[in-house]
Amino acid sequence: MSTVVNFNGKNIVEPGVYAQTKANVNINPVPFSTGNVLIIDDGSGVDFGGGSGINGDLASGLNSVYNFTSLIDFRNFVRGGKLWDLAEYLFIPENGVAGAPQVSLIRAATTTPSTITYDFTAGANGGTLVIDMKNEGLEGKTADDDESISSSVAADTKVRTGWGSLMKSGVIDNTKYFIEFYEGTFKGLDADGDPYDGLDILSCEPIIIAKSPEFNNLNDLITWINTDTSFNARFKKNASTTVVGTGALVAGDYTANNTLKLATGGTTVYGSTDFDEVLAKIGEVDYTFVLSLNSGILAKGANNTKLLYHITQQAEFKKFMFVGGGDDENAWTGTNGSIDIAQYFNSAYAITCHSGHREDVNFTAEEKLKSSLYHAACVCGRLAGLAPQTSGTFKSLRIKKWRHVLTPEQRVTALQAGVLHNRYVQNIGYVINQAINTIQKNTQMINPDATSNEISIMRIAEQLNKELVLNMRPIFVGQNLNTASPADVKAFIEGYLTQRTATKINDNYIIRFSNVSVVQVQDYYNCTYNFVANSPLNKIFITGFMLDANLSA
Amino acid sequence: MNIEQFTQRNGFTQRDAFAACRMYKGQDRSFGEWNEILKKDFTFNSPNIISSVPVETKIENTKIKENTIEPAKTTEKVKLVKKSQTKKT
Repeated sequence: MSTVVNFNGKNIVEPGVYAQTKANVNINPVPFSTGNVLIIDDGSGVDFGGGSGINGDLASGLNSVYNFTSLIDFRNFVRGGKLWDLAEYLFIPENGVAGAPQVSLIRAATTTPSTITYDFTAGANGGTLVIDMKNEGLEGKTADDDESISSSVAADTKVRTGWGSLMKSGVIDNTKYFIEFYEGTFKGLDADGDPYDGLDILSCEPIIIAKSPEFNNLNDLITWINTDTSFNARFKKNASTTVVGTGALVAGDYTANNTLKLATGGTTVYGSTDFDEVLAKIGEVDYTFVLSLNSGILAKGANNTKLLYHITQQAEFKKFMFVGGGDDENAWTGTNGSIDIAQYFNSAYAITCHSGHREDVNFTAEEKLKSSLYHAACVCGRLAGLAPQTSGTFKSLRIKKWRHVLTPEQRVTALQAGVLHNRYVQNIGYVINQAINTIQKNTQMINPDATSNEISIMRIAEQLNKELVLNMRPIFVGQNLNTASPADVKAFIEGYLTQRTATKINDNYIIRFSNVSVVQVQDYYNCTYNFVANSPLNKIFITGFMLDANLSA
Repeated sequence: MNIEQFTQRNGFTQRDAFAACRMYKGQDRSFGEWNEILKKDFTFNSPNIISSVPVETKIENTKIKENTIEPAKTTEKVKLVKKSQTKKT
């Protein structure tokens, strides 16, 4: 008996040489990000933030999109303000669970950098050193410079926010000098006028970002500036820097420059055209969720509405937008209440979160009233940390004290109106009642137009689209009918969908798929497939039948 | 003028038209009022002489334009009459 080999669809029995042609197709699809979050700062981050705006001097466009994978990195970058405070809810939406794997930040603003200038012109030599702040638009301020501080603090000589520098006499060689570059550590004040981190401005000591070696010649200082990584992380030498003669300094140069120099002249202008520019540039940025910073009475504004159009019509892959609704019971119904906002968006890609919360203030008996924006950030972070097929329903958040605890009747209204909210569940605590979006056509799990009121189902659908496109594009586009035949494409899609089908061991996006079809039309393939999403289980109805003790024996 | 009419006539992008129409659905305002309300959030065509006048005036302008064409038609008729007269003679 000869060995039987199945080759090219045939059972080969006879000895011989056999050949076939196959496309070089990688049938192991790569998974892509499922929960990256984007924040567009259209004014909330004013006076803080880092890098350049979308229309910046030192960087612009996609170079002004900054990505962070940890809370510490994000906070170091923005250094203070509302975004600093909000980030914790995105990265740590609940104790012990994963939050957003990556947060991208972009400022919808036109920015110019602040500068620090040293004029060494006391002698015949020397020159002028001009330093730009890489974090554009932000100026250095002492406590008495900071306009947000109401009490005047006289003669503060330390940088509390932004950047500054101080030229000092040499320690090793007292005929030389060195310059220390500082960054302020004050985090700013919240809406109640309290510091975000509890530390008042005079308690916030500046940190030294960089320290030059001792020098008495501008050329030596410039050599250090050109190579020092700590300096260049925050600062950049301006092209207008000039050296006169030999560059040697005299004592008069030190006398003229030995006081604290604050970075000045930076500007940040948030404009509607800057926001438009952001939308024009971020179409292919890799993110799944976008957290709107305009909540409550601002929720129905132009930027959120433009953003809704962008994420549903213009972005390469559809995204999900989280918007804070009303803060408390007064903003539940009525104009700009949570119900009104949900009805306004009416989209499977927009999620409105109702109610702010109360936050304990450390070491005091006080509570801070936080807006619904924090709720939206928390839900956004929580879902970003979950796989697409994992429903947010009955998932707990770090927020425990709600400003508006909905009654059972209000919860029913909220579910029917597309308002995401929380409820208390015995044995679990406060949880997301049901992870729903704002689509008003919400009596069926799947609508005829392939939309759903369940966030997880919409995430699955969009994730399938994203992964198929990103996997297939580099493999098939640009090939020919032989190297990428309809059979190859069909095999790839089937392979991908098989990989994404849930088993008892591995949860996944879909329960099953069928009818994968690839039809050649001119120079393209028309591919179709059916799938059943791994949709959530929201209700269980139990009916017990009571039997008569005498008859059931 | 409703918001749909305003966005159609003033060069709104599809995205901005969508946003403006959703924000101001059902409202009726003059051209000047829409211009004032929308200019802070949207970029659209700068008002020119024709578009900056009220709608009623535009309609009047159109009527005037139509009227100015009529004399030319009259001239044409006169020419035809002359031809027919020539034939008769």
